[in-house]
Amino acid sequence: MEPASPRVSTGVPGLDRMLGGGLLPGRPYLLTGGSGSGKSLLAMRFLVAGLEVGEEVLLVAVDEPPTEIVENVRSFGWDLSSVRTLDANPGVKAIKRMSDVQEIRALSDAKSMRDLSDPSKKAAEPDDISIQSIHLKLRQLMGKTKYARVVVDSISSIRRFAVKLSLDPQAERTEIQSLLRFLSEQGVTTLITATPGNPALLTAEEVLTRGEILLTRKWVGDRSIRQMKIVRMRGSAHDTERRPFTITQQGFQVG
Amino acid sequence: MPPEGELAAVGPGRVSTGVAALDEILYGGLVPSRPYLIVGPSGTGKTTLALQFLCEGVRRGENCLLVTLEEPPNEMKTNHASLGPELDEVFVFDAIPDVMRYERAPFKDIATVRASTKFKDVGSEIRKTPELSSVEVTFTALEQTLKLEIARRHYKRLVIDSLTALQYFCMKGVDESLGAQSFLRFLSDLRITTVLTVESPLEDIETPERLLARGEVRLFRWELDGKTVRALGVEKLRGSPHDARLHPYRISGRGIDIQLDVTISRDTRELLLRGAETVPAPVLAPEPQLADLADGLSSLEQDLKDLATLGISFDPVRASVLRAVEDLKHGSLREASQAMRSARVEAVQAFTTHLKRDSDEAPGSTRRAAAAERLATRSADLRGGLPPTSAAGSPSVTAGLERVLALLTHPPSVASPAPPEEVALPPPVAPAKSRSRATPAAPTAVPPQVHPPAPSPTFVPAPPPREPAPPSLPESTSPPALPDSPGDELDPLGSPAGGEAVTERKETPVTADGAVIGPPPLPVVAERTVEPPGPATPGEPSAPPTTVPAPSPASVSADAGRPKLPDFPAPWLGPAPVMPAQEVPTAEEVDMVGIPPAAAPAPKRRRRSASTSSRRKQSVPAPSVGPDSVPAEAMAPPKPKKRAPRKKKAVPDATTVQETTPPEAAASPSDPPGPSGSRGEPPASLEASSDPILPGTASTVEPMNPAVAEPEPSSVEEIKEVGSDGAS
Repeated sequence: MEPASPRVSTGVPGLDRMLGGGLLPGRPYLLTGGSGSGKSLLAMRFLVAGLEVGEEVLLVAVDEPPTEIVENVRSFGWDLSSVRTLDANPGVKAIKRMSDVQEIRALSDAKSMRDLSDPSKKAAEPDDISIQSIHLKLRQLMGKTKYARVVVDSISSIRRFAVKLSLDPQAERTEIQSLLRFLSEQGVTTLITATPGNPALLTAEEVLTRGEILLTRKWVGDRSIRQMKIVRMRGSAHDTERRPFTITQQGFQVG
Repeated sequence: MPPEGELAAVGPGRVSTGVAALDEILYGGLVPSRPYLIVGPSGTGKTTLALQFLCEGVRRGENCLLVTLEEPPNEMKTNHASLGPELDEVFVFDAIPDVMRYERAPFKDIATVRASTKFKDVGSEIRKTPELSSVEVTFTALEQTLKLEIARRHYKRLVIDSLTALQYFCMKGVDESLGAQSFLRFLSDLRITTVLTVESPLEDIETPERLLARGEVRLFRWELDGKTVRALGVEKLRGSPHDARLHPYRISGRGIDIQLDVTISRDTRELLLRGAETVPAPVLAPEPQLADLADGLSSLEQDLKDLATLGISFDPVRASVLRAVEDLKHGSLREASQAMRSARVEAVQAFTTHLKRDSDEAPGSTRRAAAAERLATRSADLRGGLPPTSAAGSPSVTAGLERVLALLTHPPSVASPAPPEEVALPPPVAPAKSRSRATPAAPTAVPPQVHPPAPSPTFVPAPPPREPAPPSLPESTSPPALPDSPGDELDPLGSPAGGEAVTERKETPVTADGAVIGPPPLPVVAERTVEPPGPATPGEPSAPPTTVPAPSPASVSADAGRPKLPDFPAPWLGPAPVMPAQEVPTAEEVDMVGIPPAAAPAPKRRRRSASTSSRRKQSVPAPSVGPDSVPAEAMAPPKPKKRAPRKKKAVPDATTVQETTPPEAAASPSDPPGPSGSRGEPPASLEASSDPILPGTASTVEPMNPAVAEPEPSSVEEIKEVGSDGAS
């Protein structure tokens, strides 16, 4: 047997411990949680951890425009300057698109977070936000830069906005499968965020990802209790309990 | 060669799953050449279990093929290396579609591009999609590929991981349910023992394609006080009865590890220690050897004599012997053999039952003490299982039978009605006499008795630790004289209170005859239906056994060559008594459901977990009646908290022994899992489906409003409150 490949750290030591050391490289994982659960933040932490070990990392931002993300994490003091981002946020125009099917210029070349303030960088193609367009875009990008970590935040939003695709679930699944496969073949450790949907419906990403981390937040009185749990993780013994965590100025604290 | 201990768990003609405990739950393993499903949410060990099944095949020198549609072979290899070196010899076929090109590119047929390789030849890196072409995998192409593979190499075991991925990614343009059904039919035609994994987030309704599987193992996972609980249950197994209860299990590097001495109530999710009530051990009867039936007959003779000495009645024995005689007349050797085994077990049971009831009596005379001692020894011996016997039809058999019948004609103290010609078979039963049904001491009544004994379970290896089935089935004939040889029957007997004397009793013994055969090993000619008896609830009158058609062998072979048995005196072959049709739930069903706390008697038998009260009652997983099962079987839904006997018709074709869970609730209101919109309706014959059981769901899933796009709270203000919890 070949020696085990080194684990990929999530940037949160407590979570790495729960994972039995970290994530296994080159595979896609799912990060699930409701709104306010901390998943986007955890995903960012994961990217920053990649920077810390000298990797190239990419964020596919669907939920929030990258500018907002920068704002969100400012207080943590993470250096996001080298995080590249693909702005797939539909923006205001998405609402229009629901009523009259209109193309939205959603994608643009990957920009460094630092350049976000420059509005002159325009999108190259007027594509619908879709798995396919993200996939094709990533192809181009990966041709130039070897990203080791990619975050897609979130796939639920893509699904919501990719109207066309939602009418054809088969096609959607195949596209997700294809995208994730592509990333694996590139050796990318991928983290996909998602909001939990109908528990009775199994989504493609649930079938395809090799592991899932769940963040929950519930309120007891006026205090919130945050917990994280490894729902599943192929190929690795892992903690199966829910662990409480907090988000402090230093970031995530598990336990 | 597999180690002896492992062989033991596998019944004759059965296929081991690779997990001995699961073989036990299946009462001997899988019935070969059929497709099976492992169903469960992700991360429950389905792939692991499927791989253990394949590794077992490698251990037995078989060619085993894994078709993977989900996880790339390189990852599987790494993830499961700890299962053992056998994994290296498993063949794997990578059926994962290539990355889409989104451009016109030549598609290649998967069969021309890929081939199976052994795991040991799989590299550590993921396979790269070729630049110039890509393979789109459709299920029809996969079928063709499998045909080619099988033509190339004779596989005895096949795994498809997963059926879900097949439906999700390989059904372009085809209704997923129909496609899956077609694929399952294709697999059935291959006549290879196949296991398919199915991702299923909830304990959902059985979909039409699943109904085509011959059996289903379901893996459950829920949360309990923040911890994850894993449980395994066999939902159905066509062609054999099985333990249908939930057992906890763990996953480790070595595979899955099932805890058989604990079960989990299917509705309340309580942990129930099995303790004394265990699942009858699997029928480990090897193929009936041309062993010396005469030997078995002489032991029976001796036992009958001892019973007579002690004044114990042995009506059930008579019934079995008569059955054997009938079988012999018809030339059905296998059935006769089984009947003889029943007779032997019943004889000993008559003894042990009396021990339990009259344990305080003094032994009396020396002769009686000796008889009691012999019987006690016999019963202890038989705990290891009855040796196989077979009606060889030799003259010594006839003579032995005659002697036995003579003894039966002159039982010491029993006044019995004319034995029926058509004997109702004591339903072999099996599974555990319900844990705590205070079964009333039976209905004495009628000849073939079938009753679970009173409080004490009669068949149970005395101490809770399950006795592993006696090891090593003989490959060839061996003198079966030793009761403890090849794990044969299930030990139907509880441990006798060793040495306690028995008093004279003049009543018909109550025997848990079910134990007798346990789940009938159904090799080829299984005609008997297992209609286990047993009152459903305490207080319910134990019912007379179901009428089961007399063993009518599928093949009533010509008698040529079989020695004729002498004509027996008329009284032996009197008219059959009319047995009321019985509505009796199977003991397995009874156990399966667990006992709703309110109705549970004998609390000392169970240990309730502390959080019982807070647990809400949950309905029971979907029944497992499929289209192939006998359509005549009707299930009347029991009332919620009371176990009502369920109506069951005698089933002429007994190849299907269904474990049915009492349908509890209405059909699931929510969407079926998996591919949306294309699930067919379960066949009308299904009476019940379950509510989606959401164990612990309330605490695992955040309430959310999926319809609305909720951006992450990104307001700067929230971030500022870093002291408490920052924004997410």
